[in-house]
Amino acid sequence: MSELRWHPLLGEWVITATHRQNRTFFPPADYCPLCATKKGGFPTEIPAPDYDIVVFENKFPSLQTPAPEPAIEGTEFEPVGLAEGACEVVCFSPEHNSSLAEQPVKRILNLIRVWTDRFQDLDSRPNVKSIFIFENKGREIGVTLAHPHGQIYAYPFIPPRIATEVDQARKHFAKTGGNLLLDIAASEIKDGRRIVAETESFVVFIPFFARYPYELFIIAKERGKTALTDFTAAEQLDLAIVLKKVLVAFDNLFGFSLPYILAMHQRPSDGEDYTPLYQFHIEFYPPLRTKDKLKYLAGSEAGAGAYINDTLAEEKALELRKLYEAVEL
Amino acid sequence: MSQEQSIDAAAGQSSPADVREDIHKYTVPIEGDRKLYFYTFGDEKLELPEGAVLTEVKEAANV
Repeated sequence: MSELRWHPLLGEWVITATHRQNRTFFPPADYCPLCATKKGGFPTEIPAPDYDIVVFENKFPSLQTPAPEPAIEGTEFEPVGLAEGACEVVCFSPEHNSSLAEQPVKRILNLIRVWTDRFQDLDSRPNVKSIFIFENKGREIGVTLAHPHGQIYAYPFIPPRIATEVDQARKHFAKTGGNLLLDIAASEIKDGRRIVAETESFVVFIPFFARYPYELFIIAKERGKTALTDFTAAEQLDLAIVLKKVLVAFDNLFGFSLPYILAMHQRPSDGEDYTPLYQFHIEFYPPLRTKDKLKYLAGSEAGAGAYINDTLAEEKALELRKLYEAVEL
Repeated sequence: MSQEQSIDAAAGQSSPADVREDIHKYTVPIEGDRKLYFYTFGDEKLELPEGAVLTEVKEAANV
């Protein structure tokens, strides 16, 4: 069962997906569904003895095409929508005990090209309004499979976080003619204290308004880069190197593989032109505030939507900048 | 794999052409009427399942 239910207080869709209660939960390594299928072994999701990068439609999707019939009939006051779209799993390494940080730059570059292909495919589908590429890493984030992997959701609506960003960017553009994300990046570069790195094509920083201690933004510097499909080969390679160095810096922060959410924000897929006002960026939300303390989304964050950050972005950026600069390629 | 081992020497090269390989995509139907895409790079030869169909890869317009 899967459907969209309208939340009238927040003005946003909630996706129900009851079949996901039965999804595979931390199986033993020999029964990992994201490993290649070894000859005579357990048949995994990947029907081959080896792979490089593989993408497949999720067995337990929150969104799918065609969408199943909703479990309940909607009303004018309680609208119900079809949970149509797509949910894909991205396996970027055949190694069960690995991580994105451990992949060579070449493989990260290849992953960027695969993401680009998937974005183009999903972007061309009429029922898709927004494509969200992400990685949940670590038990602290709630992953249910240890094998390193990312995901792609293709929504039939523009999800609230992207909608808010676009709305704010549109207001900023109307008022100043500027691109909000680029103006944020320019302000960070001018200040300098929260910058972690700057390359020819990207700027990396902990934002002034960080909600998590190690929240990190990677923003494309050239105006008009609203999605992966806007990048040149040189920009793809630059992004691969930046990602590699950020991920290694994260892992060196506390001396273990750092859990995080990687959230890629790209222009919506609703046919509008977002070129002047929106900008491709990646946001990282590591859930740790110290080596052994989690930053919980508790009363104020979950109940009131007001984040409380126990740290100063300027101090955390300095930590990450030193670690980033120490990464040698 | 250690971090040191994972560092890719190719990243130190200046041109994308030095690390960029041809990309290929093979589409395979899997259980539950779903699609799976195998991506391969360069001359890489993988043992693909029966029914794998070579499919166009959509690269960025500027590459």
